[in-house]
Amino acid sequence: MSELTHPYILAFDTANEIIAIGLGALDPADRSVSLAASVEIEAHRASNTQLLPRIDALLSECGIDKHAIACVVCGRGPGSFTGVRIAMATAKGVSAALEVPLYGVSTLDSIAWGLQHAGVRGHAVVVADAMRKEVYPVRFELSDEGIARLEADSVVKADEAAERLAGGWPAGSVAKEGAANAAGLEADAVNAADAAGCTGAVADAAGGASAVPVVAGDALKKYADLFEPCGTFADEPLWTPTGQGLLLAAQAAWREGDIDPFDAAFGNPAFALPVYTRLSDAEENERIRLSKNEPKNLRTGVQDTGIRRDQRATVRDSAIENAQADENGITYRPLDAAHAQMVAHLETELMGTDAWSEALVLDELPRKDRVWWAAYDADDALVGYAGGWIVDGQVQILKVATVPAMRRCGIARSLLARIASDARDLGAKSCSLEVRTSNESAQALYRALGFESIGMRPRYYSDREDAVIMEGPLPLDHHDVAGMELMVHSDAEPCDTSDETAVQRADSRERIEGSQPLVLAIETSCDETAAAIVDGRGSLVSDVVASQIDFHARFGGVVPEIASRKHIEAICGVTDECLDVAAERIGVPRLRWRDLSAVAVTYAPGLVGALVVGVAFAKGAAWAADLPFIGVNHLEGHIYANKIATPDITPPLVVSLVSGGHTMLVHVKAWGEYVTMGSTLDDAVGEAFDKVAKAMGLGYPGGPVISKLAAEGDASAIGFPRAMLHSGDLRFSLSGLKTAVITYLRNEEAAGRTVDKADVAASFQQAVIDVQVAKAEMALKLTGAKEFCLGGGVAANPALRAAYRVMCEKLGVRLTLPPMSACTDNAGMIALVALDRYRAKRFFGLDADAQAHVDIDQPY
Amino acid sequence: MANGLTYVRQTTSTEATKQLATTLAPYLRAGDVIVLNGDLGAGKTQFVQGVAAGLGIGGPVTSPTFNILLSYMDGNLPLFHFDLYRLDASDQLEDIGYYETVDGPGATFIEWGDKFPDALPYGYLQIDITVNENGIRIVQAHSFGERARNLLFVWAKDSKSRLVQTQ
Repeated sequence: MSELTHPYILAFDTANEIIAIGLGALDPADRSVSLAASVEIEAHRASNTQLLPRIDALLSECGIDKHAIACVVCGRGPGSFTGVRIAMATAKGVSAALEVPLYGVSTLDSIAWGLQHAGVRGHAVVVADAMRKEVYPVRFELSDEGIARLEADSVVKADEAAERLAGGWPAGSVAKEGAANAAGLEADAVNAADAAGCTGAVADAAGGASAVPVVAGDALKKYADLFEPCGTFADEPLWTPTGQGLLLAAQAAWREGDIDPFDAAFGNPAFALPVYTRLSDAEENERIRLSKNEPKNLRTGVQDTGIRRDQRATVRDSAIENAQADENGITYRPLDAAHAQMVAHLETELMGTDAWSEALVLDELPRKDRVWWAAYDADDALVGYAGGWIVDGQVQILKVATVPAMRRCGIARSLLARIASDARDLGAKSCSLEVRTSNESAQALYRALGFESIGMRPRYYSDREDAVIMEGPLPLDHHDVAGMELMVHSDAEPCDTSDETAVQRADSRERIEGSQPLVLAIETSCDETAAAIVDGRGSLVSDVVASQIDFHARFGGVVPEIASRKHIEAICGVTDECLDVAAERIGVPRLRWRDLSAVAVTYAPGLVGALVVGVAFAKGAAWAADLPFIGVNHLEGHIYANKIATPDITPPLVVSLVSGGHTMLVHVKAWGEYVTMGSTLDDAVGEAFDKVAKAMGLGYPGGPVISKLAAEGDASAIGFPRAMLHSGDLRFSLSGLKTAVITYLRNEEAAGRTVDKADVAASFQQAVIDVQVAKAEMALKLTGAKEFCLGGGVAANPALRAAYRVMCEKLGVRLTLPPMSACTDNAGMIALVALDRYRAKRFFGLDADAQAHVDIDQPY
Repeated sequence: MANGLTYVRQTTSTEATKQLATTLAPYLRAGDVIVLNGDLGAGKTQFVQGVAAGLGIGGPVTSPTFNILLSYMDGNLPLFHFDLYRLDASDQLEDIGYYETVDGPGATFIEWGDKFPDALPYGYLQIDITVNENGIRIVQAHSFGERARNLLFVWAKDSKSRLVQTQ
């Protein structure tokens, strides 16, 4: 890639309610960025619909071709989580398809640069709105030379932040806890400024008490009265990032060597990630709960976790038992207070006089800037643990230990990866730790993880042995897809490419053209990040799924915020893998975004925050590769999945869609023409399975465990209600059945009887099946359709499949059961719909957005 | 609570509650949060229906108990109506987009807001509807924070609201 033909940098940010776009020319000679254009637009909560059209318009106005962009820079936040992800996902798509590097810059630094550019000098503080009465406060020193940041990103209650900022400068610290911590932060801030060559500014600041700080940030809109005593407010347009500020932040990073606009490997778009500064609420609440030593046995199921007098309190309680073991039988869970004693015990055994007491460990657990993880073997014995402390953008590893018998199983590495992942979400950028000089195997492990030795602490340990201080970057886990397991399918036989040298460029071109149209589809509607490519014959040449289930299992259900975070981590790895697999099948050395015919994505229905990631990424890639963009309804994908099993399937047909989010009967009059005949009034079938499984202490997901247990039980043992069976219409209701099961369990427990879980599972499942089959039969009779098929995860239930077989045989209707892998969420089915829409030229504009709910009956 | 205002009005029918609510509508601004408290059947949904009518919202306004959040975008100001009754834990607020909505482009009415007091903003208007033994509804409005104080003040000054200040 020639540097001279790619001289522009495109920067944008949507972390706040503003879309900021900057376009600058790059001069490698003095590493400078000269402004070509800077625009700021009110987003009105529609960044995803506005961002790309605005970028496109700006390039046109400036007469700059998108292929003249050498580098993309994106604001990483902190700000609104969804806002940051819109910018980041778009940037990843644009950067991947343009094949140029992507770098993240701090949104708050960009605001500070905007102030600096506007002539503000001396003390400045940026307070960005973090919602829920919290703000992200960061203090800066602004000089003619640039900006010096005085502290790392953190999230603080607005009133607390205001009080501390008003209390003095810079002696008033915004550290969250304790005097010792605050002092440490202060010292670090000064060191950081020293390193940046800004000693003078800091010294001035310490002495120049008369200077009134300038305050900026969108938190001022909401909390003007709180922050009024903290200084003079900057002009309102400077409260949010500007295109100019983003470019200046990028230029500074270039000069510091943190980014290189011409190094595509250094700026791999997979590595750019948002700044969050806090875990998801589910994880935070888990931390609070685990740090309390509640006297309950988490292993005994019903009486402790499922049924409580207060039904409100049950939702997250199965977290612990839902954690799933890895291939070595090791389970990783956040450390809880109940195991603090075991940690202390192992400490004494392994750490000698440097051991921590139980009280010390217990004191750690509830702290918001600490992360502790533990590893357990198949017998639930503690075999390892690790803890980290996030201080000023760095996680300091406090402890890493593995029992001697279990060393070399990768436990320490896995524990560190989990700590690193949480620490990154809490704002850490690097990791440091101390290790005994004599512990060479540990040092080798850390070096393998990218750590370098940066110094010694003489006589650090109580036996006076020296410690080596090592430091490394985050994240530590170099997985392509955010630590998820990747499943790869492909219909087509791999092409014979054994004669590699013969694969000339012209030959590649021919092979690609011979397979066209090639449509790549992305699916991120729930907890699976998936991508697939369909060729012109309707074969899936690549079908890749990364399932996040391990990350959600311990919460007993999908946590939307975690799902969105995992999608943005995995999206590049999944699409890269998808392109590579397709290249192999087609028989070309490489398949590029520009070789495709269109980019498609699931735009609805689903978790809106999760959908947004896929939609923004797909739009970015389609725009950058000059390809048509196709939006697909997820439910239509489930209907099309039946084409995989029965290619000659022809409408009219009746489809039963049953999953964790849907329970409906759809009359397919023709492909693309759907009538919803009935759907659930309350819970979906999959949801009912999950909730009943949770109540029985069976873990998550509920479908497979209940169906397995039901196979051993008596389906007629308990007469659970068949809701709506005689309602005379095709509507469903599952909420009453779920309540009936829970009430039954509670009553049996109260009566002191032992519940036969297999009977409960079988009876519950039968109640679901009876209604599903009866309504399906009614739908078939009403429509006269001669084809019946299934879609959605619940379609994998063997008993339900068997019951449908019997019913269809009786009615003389052909039954299509999609393969198990096509029942759950995948991108292959989305690609099949997209191919039809591509041929019909039914494209979406770049202003398309994700939608949580859509009616499948409405053509789109 | 220090500088909070309290006003009260008795209504004898759900229609009167609606009419009272309608008079609040013109004074609402984006970002306003109104916490509605009252027993089942006290008339919380009717109150929101009245506000919706005042904002010129066309379609039917129903209870959000099942959906948790219902949004009405077709009026002079977006109207969001939460019922937090079905939520089990405060972390689910993140899942349903609660914080984005409360800080959002419209006025937000919240039922069962006292379930998650930490999730309420610094400032909001609290409306308590109680029913006495004669079926008379007592609608009491109390302001928390500067903006809610101003809102309640101008609303109460509107003679159609017939709100009476209490001590």
